Amino acid sequence: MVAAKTWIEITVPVTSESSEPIANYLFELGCSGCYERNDELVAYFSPDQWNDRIAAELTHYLSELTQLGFTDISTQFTITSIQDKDWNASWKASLAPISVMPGLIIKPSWIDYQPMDGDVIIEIDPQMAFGTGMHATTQLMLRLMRPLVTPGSSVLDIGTGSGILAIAAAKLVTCTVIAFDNDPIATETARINSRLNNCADMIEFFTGTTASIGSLHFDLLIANVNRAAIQSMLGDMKHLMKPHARMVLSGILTDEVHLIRDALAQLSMKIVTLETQDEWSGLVVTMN
Amino acid sequence: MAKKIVGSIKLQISAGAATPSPPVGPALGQHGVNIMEFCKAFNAKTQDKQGLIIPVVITVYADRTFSFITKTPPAAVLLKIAAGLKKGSGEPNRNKVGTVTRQQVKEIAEQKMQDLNAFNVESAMRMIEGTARSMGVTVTD
Repeated sequence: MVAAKTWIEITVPVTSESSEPIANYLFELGCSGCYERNDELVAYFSPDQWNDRIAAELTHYLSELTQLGFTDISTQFTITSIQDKDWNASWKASLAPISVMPGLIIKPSWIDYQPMDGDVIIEIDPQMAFGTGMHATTQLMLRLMRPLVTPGSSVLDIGTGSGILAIAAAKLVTCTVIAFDNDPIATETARINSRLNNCADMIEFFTGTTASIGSLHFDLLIANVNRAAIQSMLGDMKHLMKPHARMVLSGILTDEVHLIRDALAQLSMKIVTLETQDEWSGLVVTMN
Repeated sequence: MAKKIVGSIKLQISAGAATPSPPVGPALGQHGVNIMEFCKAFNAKTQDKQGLIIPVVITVYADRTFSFITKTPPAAVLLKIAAGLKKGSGEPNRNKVGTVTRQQVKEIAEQKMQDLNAFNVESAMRMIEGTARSMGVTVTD
């Protein structure tokens, strides 16, 4: 289990005039981001980025703004320690089973669903990792990869997130799956989800990059990340393919597909199938 | 039929680096928005601007769907780039740390016009000058 992180929440009263300078100064002090709530700016710091000296610097800066003629500046701000948690709780409450395609259902574990004969049910509980089945790119990936996952094949899931694609591969047919993510929270979430789906023994999860794969080669590579990440990894991914292997890619905005097509052409590869959903595209790629 | 808007959230986060943790989690979670979908879309849209702080306005609709628009980088960020500074002054009233020309202020104002509540470039320039003052950056002719 990954321990929940603590955050320092700083709430500073602002006006339309002072909001931007104060936000800028909070970033310079090391905050990870902020949002506006009524007439307040709410900023978050890691505990190691916040201490009494930083608090004094913020107070001093606010008083300097007053001296510069900024109006309605308060040097009073609140400091609260909060635990990271499942911020998706209210969204979670509104979830329902999703039929990605006939016979392939995704649902949260807390919802009952009566399967039809032959239905493959994937249970994913939304946590702190991408891939719940609700996003168009996940659905595109599942539809495109389903006919390509054959018994006995080897599958590499790059940027596994919640593990949903690796789990789908393992539940569709008997195959071997290796899946990784550079985020240890995602890897841990994916492991938990694989146990939830009774397929943990078919998938090897690890935290790392394509460089960690070594000399293994695969029948199918799947990656639902983003265009820039895919572009940067394409060369490495090609070297992980068996001669007749395929890649299924998504996380690519449709108006950026040409960038991937150009990058593939330089590697003597091509798109053989392209599907779109909303503003996203999913691609099946082979060698020329 | 126009979708009914039930909320608007203004965030500032690093391009290409949105995660479900704060500030995204608490800001969006209270509106019942799919946080992970936002993160994915925001990161895809801003992946080529990594290293910049990006203001983003998220509109939440009654059916739990949402849309968002990313804004130009904050004026303070553009001023630091123009002045060649890594940071502004923590004591802007007494410690000036850099200068920008009025022409540079005009260029930033023009770049930011679409996002500023300003009638013309001159009033936008006054806003940029105010931000410069708040950072200890002096505007020269």
